[in-house]
Amino acid sequence: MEVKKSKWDDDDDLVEPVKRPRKEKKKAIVKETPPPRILPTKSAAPPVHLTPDVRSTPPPNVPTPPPPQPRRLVAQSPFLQGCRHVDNYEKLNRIEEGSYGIVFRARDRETGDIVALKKLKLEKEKNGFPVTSLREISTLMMCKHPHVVNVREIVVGDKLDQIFIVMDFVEHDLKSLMEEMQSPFLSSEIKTLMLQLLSAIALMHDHWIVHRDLKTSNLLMNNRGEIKVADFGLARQYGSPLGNMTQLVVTLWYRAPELLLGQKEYSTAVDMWSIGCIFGELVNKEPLLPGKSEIEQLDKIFKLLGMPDEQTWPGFFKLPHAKNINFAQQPRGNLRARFPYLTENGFDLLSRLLAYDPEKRITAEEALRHPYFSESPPPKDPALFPTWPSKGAGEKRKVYASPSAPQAQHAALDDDLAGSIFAPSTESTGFRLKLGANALK
Amino acid sequence: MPSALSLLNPRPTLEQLECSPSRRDGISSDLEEDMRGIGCRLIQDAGILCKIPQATIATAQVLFQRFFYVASLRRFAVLDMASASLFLAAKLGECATRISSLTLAFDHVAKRLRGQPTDVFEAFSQEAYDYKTKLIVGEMQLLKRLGFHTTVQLPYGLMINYLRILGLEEREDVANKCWALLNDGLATPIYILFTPQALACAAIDLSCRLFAIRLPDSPPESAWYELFDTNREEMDIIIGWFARLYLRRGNIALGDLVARPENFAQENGDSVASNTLLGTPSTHWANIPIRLEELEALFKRQ
Ligand SMILES: Nc1ncnc2c1ncn2[C@@H]1O[C@H](COP(=O)(O)OP(=O)(O)OP(=O)(O)O)[C@@H](O)[C@H]1O
Ligand SMILES: [Mg+2]
Repeated sequence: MEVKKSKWDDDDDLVEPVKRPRKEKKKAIVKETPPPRILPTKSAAPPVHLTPDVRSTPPPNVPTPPPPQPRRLVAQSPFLQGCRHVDNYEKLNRIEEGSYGIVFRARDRETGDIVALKKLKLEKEKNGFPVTSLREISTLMMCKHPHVVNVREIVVGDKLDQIFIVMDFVEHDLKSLMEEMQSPFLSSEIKTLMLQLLSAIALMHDHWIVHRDLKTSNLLMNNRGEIKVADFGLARQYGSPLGNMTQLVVTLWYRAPELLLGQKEYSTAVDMWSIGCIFGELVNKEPLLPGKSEIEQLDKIFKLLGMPDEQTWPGFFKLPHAKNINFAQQPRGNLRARFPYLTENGFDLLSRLLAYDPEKRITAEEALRHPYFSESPPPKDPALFPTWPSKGAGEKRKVYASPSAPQAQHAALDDDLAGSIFAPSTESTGFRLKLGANALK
Repeated sequence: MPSALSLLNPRPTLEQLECSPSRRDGISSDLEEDMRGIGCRLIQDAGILCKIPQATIATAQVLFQRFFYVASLRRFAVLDMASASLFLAAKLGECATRISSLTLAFDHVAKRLRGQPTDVFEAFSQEAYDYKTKLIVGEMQLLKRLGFHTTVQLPYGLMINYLRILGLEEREDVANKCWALLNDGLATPIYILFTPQALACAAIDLSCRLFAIRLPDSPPESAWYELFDTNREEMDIIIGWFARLYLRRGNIALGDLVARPENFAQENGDSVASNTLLGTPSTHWANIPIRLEELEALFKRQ
């Protein structure tokens, strides 16, 4: 049952295309609502003044509320206002086609500001607005933080299913930036970036929002030494108790072991693992755990950190996929050897971020207070960061292969909905572990 | 100017308040209030039927109310937008509900509320299909016309917290009364006009007066509600809305009671005050249009 296209066509008085003559014809056909005729009112009450209903004789002392004034709502709260049209922006160039959205660089016709427009892909929706896109927009809009990419507004195209997130344009993403840099970030720079990242994630976790796709390509960076967490495509706010959330989250290289092992209830700790991987990547200027499959990913983790056991990760053996692991081989771990130049404190932070047991893994709040950040050298002032040519602005273009987030996520079926009637007959697209008996040899 | 986005509840402009889009379309303020009222009632009843948590039902009612500050009741039917609001709120509250359950529930509660036979439509009928289409289009209209400002900060949690701070956590009767008031208040504009703090304080203030519980409020500069960023005036306006709501619903005794809680507590004591405050449904629900055809028919009759 498809919604008739005509129903989706915009016949909207709110959305005014900016000076586009072609559109005008279309607008003229729009059926006008009948001219207003005032219905006689029972009590001739002024618009919003409060007069008790005349059906009854009001008791003598009814306080009549004065006309409502929204004065007590805090000044910054937004006005109720519909989405504007995307034509308020002039498209400049396509930044990058992510796995789901298309991102454009654009100019605000009114202010001249340069922005990024991310077009949501909504085509195949049978159950109304996809819950994943709703989460992306609502979590992004909630997370106002100097190190979360700033959403300006949501704009729409001519059709109801053309929806764009308008963000501040940010010059770089950390992944492409590091690939273009000659040498790794300095340790003072890494501290600044880590503090920024942790402060943004601390805010999110404080509001029970899990990002679920932290990786260097989703961390944007401007030319003023500031990181902006972006791509909330997999983010969601979770209730308590933690619902049964899908494990098909987080790009493989940054995916926490509990997800790889099929744990059904997980939480903000999955983001902390990703931050551990990002920390390692910042230090060594190469991905920490670039596995090619889930099996290889686990294998790389075991080689880096040694085998988990009941001591380091109580309950580990009970995880759904733990029985498929071959314990004949017992790698000892070589984390220290991979980071010879990291100080003891830096190494301690890294190990805590990469703690096997999600319960023991350091939280964003704790990490912010870690001694690593107070030892010498101090974090570098963001204003003193070097600048680089912006790839997104087309100042230099290069194409890199980049791993992407699990696709099943963006589809209509997700999380608790899987298995309900909301889930179409679509099969899970093969991201689940298919570990054979002698896998991980 | 791009609109500011934040955690705060968006607010209507003065213009939207003084002359809502429905008023501009010729709908009287009385009729608008009734139509908003029945929409909220439908959401509440259908939400309970679908076993949706109250916080989500409340969010839906706030979204529904907000919508009609930017759109006219003459263009968007109460029934469609009420169902769309609950559909959207359920997604936002991570308790997404099947379209078919929702449409069936709304159809049922609408018929029940208006005293019509509650026969069920066929699952694969044209009627069911139309319902579904309207629901999906309505959801999109909600999102678009609210500029995706779907954040709804509710006062329930604050209310419980404040009661604890006021040392009233043991008084289940007070908490229940506050809860019932906050639910009833969803049918009024108070959720659009006031902060969740002010709503929580007003519910506590009124409940405590009904139960003749004195709260620390002297000297005036250290009144309890000031601790929660609220002033006397706001609470009085909110309480005025409650009185008006109950009077309009034909519940004179209740309206009177809410309007003059002090007298009431003295005269009647706790036992009566602990009765539910929920307004009783009155016969006039049947005459309130919830479909565009019904509204136009009403216009023709005038
Ligand atoms: N505000 C922005 N300013 C500049 N570039 C941006 C901005 N937002 C996104 N981009 C660019 O577009 C790319 C894709 O954006 P985003 O990650 O949000 O989309 P996506 O489709 O979810 O991608 P993927 O699924 O591949 O991670 C980013 O990696 C970045 O290069
Ligand atoms: Mg991305």
